[in-house]
Amino acid sequence: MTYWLEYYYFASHYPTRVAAWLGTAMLLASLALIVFIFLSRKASQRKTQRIERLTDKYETLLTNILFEDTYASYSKGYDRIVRSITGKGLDKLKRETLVHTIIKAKENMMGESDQILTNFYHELKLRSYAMREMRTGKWYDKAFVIQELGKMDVKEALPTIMRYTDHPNPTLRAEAQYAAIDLAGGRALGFLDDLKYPLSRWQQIRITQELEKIDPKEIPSFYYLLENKNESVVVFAIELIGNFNQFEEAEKLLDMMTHPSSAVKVALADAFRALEYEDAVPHILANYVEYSTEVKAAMLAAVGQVGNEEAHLDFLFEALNTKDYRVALAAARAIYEISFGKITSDMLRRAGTRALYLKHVVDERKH
Amino acid sequence: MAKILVAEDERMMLKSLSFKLSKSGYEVDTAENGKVAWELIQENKYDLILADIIMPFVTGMELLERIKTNPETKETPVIVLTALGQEDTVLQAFEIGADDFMTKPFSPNELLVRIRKLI
Repeated sequence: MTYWLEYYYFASHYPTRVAAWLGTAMLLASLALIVFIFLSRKASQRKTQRIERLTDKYETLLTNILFEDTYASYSKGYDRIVRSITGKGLDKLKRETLVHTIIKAKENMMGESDQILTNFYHELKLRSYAMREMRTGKWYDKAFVIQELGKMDVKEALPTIMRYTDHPNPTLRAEAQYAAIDLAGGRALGFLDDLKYPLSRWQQIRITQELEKIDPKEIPSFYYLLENKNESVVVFAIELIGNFNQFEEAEKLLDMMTHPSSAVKVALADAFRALEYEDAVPHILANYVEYSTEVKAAMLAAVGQVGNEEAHLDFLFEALNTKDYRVALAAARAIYEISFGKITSDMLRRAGTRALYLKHVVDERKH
Repeated sequence: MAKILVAEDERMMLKSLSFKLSKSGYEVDTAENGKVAWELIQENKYDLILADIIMPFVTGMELLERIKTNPETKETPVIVLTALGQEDTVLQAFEIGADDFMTKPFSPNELLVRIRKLI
């Protein structure tokens, strides 16, 4: 052993000595890393198990409050539950798990049950912690409590939440935007007016979902956003116009057909389809040659859906003969749409070498 | 006592529905996914099935199709639970043979009324 130590660790040969010490250091570091990974995995498992236990407990508690007469709102049993939670106080994990369980339950229930859950949240005085955390917490805690305050209808949080709707942190910004709509409906969309940061596709989908939940009478007209400086807001406004069938000022969309952004033009094409706006077709035809491939394909889809066979079939056959296969395929799909799925042998003859595209579209629709 | 199967992958929802229905006098079986639901359906006779559309392993739509194409179960009323904005799914469910649907979020009391109409 002594010989072995002397040979490697205290050898006169310098590289052997360095290699021995380095090797030992690396071995010890690896062992330390393994122990660290093992311990952190154990800690994480314990945390997960605790969350599961708490979730189970709170689910049962909420079910009792919702449906068991002994625990019905303002009964002795209910008061006992409220006192036991507020009295002992909640650590962060317990609080987050309880709030998360209430939010999950609220997502599936409406009417009386939804109201009971909201009241329960307020009686537990959970909102004062959330309000404090929104001002002073770390960004991820802020994002969580902003979502919570929105879902729990804490109206007093709205002014502070509105300040986060254009925050540099994308997660915080997005949560604030959804919460603002939860709290103020269509009126909260004022944040779009001066939005500096782009709205991601996912944000647009989430905001649309939130808007779909509110009373249609509260949905504002989105035409005023068409002149917004933020391109993503303009795209989103066009999509909302189509989504909520706001046909009343549709001619304003026609003024945007020469907008420099392809995303805006693609959104216009989709809106024309959603609004079934036939008057748009002559404008599409007039500007068609100027469009990029992506815009051409979107506009052809619009012509296929809102155009009419008699007037626009020639244009679509012309587009079918374009070299760009993406445009040709879009034209084939539009021909299929405009002729209500009836591709005749005359059409196949007329298409010539491009008949394959039409056959492909017919085949595609069968599956 | 009428027997109901609740197939739903969200645990809180499953617990609440099961509790509410038991309190209202029904015998309730629960399944956390479509696969378990189908196994229970084959082993038991239910008076009504409540199935969420989005479930792991076997979706609500597949489950509905199996129920409605099986001679032994095709007469069992099925209420499908869908999320907001799934109108196409509801139409598809009706085409397969669903007897009613509820869009989440919903009122548990309204669900009870609909169940009573079908049993």
